[in-house]
Amino acid sequence: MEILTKKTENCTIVEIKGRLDTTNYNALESEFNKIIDKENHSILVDCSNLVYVSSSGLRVFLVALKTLNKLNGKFLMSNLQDNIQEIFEISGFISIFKVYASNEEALAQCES
Amino acid sequence: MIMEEQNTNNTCCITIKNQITEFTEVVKTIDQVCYNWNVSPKIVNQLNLAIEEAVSNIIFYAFSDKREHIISIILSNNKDNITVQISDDGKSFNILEVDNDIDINASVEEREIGGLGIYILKKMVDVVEYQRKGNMNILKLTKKLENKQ
Repeated sequence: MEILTKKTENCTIVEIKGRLDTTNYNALESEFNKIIDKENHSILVDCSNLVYVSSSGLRVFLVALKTLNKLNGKFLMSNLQDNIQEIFEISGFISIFKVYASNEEALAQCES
Repeated sequence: MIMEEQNTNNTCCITIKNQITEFTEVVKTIDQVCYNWNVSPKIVNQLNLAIEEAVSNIIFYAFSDKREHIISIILSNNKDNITVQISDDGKSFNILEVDNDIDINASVEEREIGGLGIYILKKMVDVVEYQRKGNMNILKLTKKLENKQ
């Protein structure tokens, strides 16, 4: 897994490439914590190149969402591939996360 | 990393130690075997998920000592389905008795952080069977193959 983080004016975009699983979820968790600790409370997770996620990865997303909700922040996701979409539907995550078809759509939410 | 593979055309046996770092090699082997068996990417993904949830659960919770244990994963291609048999010598754990009815309609605040793994495992395969045999947990997962009924 590779994590690429870039900052826009209103949002921090975290792009995850490859597999997010039980062997590497803690790297993503640390990245989210680092971003939130720097008082950046809007995160967009770009999943265009995320090919696999298991329950350990889903947990990291849920923890970040809960943390940012408490801080009145935003945790958005974009570009879910079919198998990621499937796991989001099965786990019910699709109804608790804000998922967008593109980064542009998601970033528009960060500006509001 | 100890990794044994005994491959025949229709069976693949992977044995690993009870360390999560072993999992990277397991994924590679499953991907390769399923590719050889011409399994669709969607089914490969579902099998990978079921196996990861089962094996990580064993590695994290089955052993109370700090010794090395061996976990074996046997994949079999039976033409219209694939079975995965996962065996460990950890404490008795019947996955079928786990109440994992998570409320997928719960709000963010109500959603629990844990409990997702076994729920996902059960959703990814068609049949889950469990047997305690001597000091072994034997979990058998069956995944039907599409378009071959």
